[in-house]
Amino acid sequence: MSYQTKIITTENVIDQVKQLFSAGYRFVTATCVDERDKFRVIYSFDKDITLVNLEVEAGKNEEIPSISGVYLCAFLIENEMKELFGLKVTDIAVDLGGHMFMTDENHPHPMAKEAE
Amino acid sequence: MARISAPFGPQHPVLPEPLQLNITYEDEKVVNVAPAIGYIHRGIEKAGELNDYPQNVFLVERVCGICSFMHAMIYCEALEEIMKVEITPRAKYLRVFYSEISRAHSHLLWLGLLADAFGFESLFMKYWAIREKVVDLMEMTGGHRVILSACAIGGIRRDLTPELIRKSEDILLEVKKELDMITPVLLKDYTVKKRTVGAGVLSREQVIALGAVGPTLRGSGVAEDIRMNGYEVYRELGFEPVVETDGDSHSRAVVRVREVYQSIELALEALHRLPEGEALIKVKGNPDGETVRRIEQPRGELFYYVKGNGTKNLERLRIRTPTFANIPALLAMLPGCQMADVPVITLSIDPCISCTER
Amino acid sequence: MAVMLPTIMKNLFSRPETRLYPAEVRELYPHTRGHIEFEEEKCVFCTMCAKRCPSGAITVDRDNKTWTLEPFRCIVCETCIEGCPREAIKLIEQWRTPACAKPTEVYRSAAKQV
Repeated sequence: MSYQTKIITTENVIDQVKQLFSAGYRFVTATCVDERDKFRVIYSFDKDITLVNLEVEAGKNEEIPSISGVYLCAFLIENEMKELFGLKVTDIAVDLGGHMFMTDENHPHPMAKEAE
Repeated sequence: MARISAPFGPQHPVLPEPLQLNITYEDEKVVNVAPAIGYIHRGIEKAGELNDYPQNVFLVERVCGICSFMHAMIYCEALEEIMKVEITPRAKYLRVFYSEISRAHSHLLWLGLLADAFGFESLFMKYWAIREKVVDLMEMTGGHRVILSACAIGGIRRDLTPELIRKSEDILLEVKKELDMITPVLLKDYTVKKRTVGAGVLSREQVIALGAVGPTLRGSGVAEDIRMNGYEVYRELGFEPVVETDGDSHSRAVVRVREVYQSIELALEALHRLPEGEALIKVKGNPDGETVRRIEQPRGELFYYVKGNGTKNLERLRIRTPTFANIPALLAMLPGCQMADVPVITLSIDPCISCTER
Repeated sequence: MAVMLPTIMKNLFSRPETRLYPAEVRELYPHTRGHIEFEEEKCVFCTMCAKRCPSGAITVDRDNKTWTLEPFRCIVCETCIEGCPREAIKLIEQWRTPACAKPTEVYRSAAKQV
């Protein structure tokens, strides 16, 4: 599978995503990987069966802006990342308040790992 | 004009799995939709980090019951790419055979549910009687009726003898003959067209911006199917995607009907061209590295991200299933339609909620 | 209406698609995944099957020489059969019968019978 990865920072996430939107790319998904001392978020986009990835690194308490202003369909996965990992995503278009999958009695942020 | 809010689901005769849509009506016309999911979240991505990597094949098969072989296949493909294992051509053709009969099974199940959604019970029973033949074929070759456990890292565990190959071809040709009798009913009947034509229309630009996949995307005129990438042996078999242009529920149903015929053709062709050799290679060692894979499931594009760190356990297993991508498209289709169209439109994206919530 | 006519004629004059179970039982295909059975005289207690089992249905106690199976946790994936170096586990084609309570099967090695 051939795919290209581009490393960007949290400041220019929205600009890079807007460029891909105007070029006609379709949003595939966002993946959050917990690397103990930081989070790595990989956004994937597709056009003509070619995959393009954008990688962002964020500290455990750093805020990432939401891309649901550009791609509305990203609100589901950003809610999931916020709820399961504790990733601080701001301004999601439809914010389900951390109760999409889990109820109050469950352990908060079950997929996050502790720092070594 | 009064506004009423009524829930659709989570228990509803039309839905195969629990999904709740809180719909606001104004005199029987839909005005607003708010989704609520999370009824069957099982934490499979977390469980994938606790098991050994060979045991994960059986865990991942059980994400969904209808498309289960393809989950196992993409996981095994991802690990083979990380561990740099090359499987034999016979294993690749067998994987295509099993994938295509899984696809035919899934679409036949959906066609029956669609007929049930507007009350056409006899057509529902006829489609499921045809589906029984495909399920019996899966039991004869793979061992189980629904969750095959036939794929493993390194190839396919269940090889086919020449007698089984002959019986499989006979069963597939019988299925095709019975389908020829039933298909004109779905495509040409007056009541079926009255319920599905014009229900849930999405244009080409809308469907790309909403991130829809699978027959939802191809029913609106976009010719994208991940099998065009040529993974496994689809490039040798020669593959063209099935596209319709109207963008309503009828086009999505026609796309799936044509795909059943295409799957039967691909399965028969894979059996004819099956090369000799071993079907399974032994694999040793631990995975170290990360990769991304995509394949085409019956409902759309499936995306896996697998990362290993040199131990027996994986570091991260990320699964993005096609219905997860189709839910925003569903939320955009519903406003403006009548109350009686809501079940047909919800079913036309083929919702598999146990895949969505894993 | 005319489109359905061949199907209607076929449905009226052919036998039903369902069979009268339990009076009429379908013949099982060879190598159907029914259930597993254990042959205790061949086992050397290497614990390979317990390590590989995805659902944790097998427990092996080396000190007391017992092999325990929880049959309702078994998913009949045949991983234990592939891993056993002495071929002490077999696949049987019959499915298990339903039960009211979940049993546990315990086997002891013949050498320990006192």
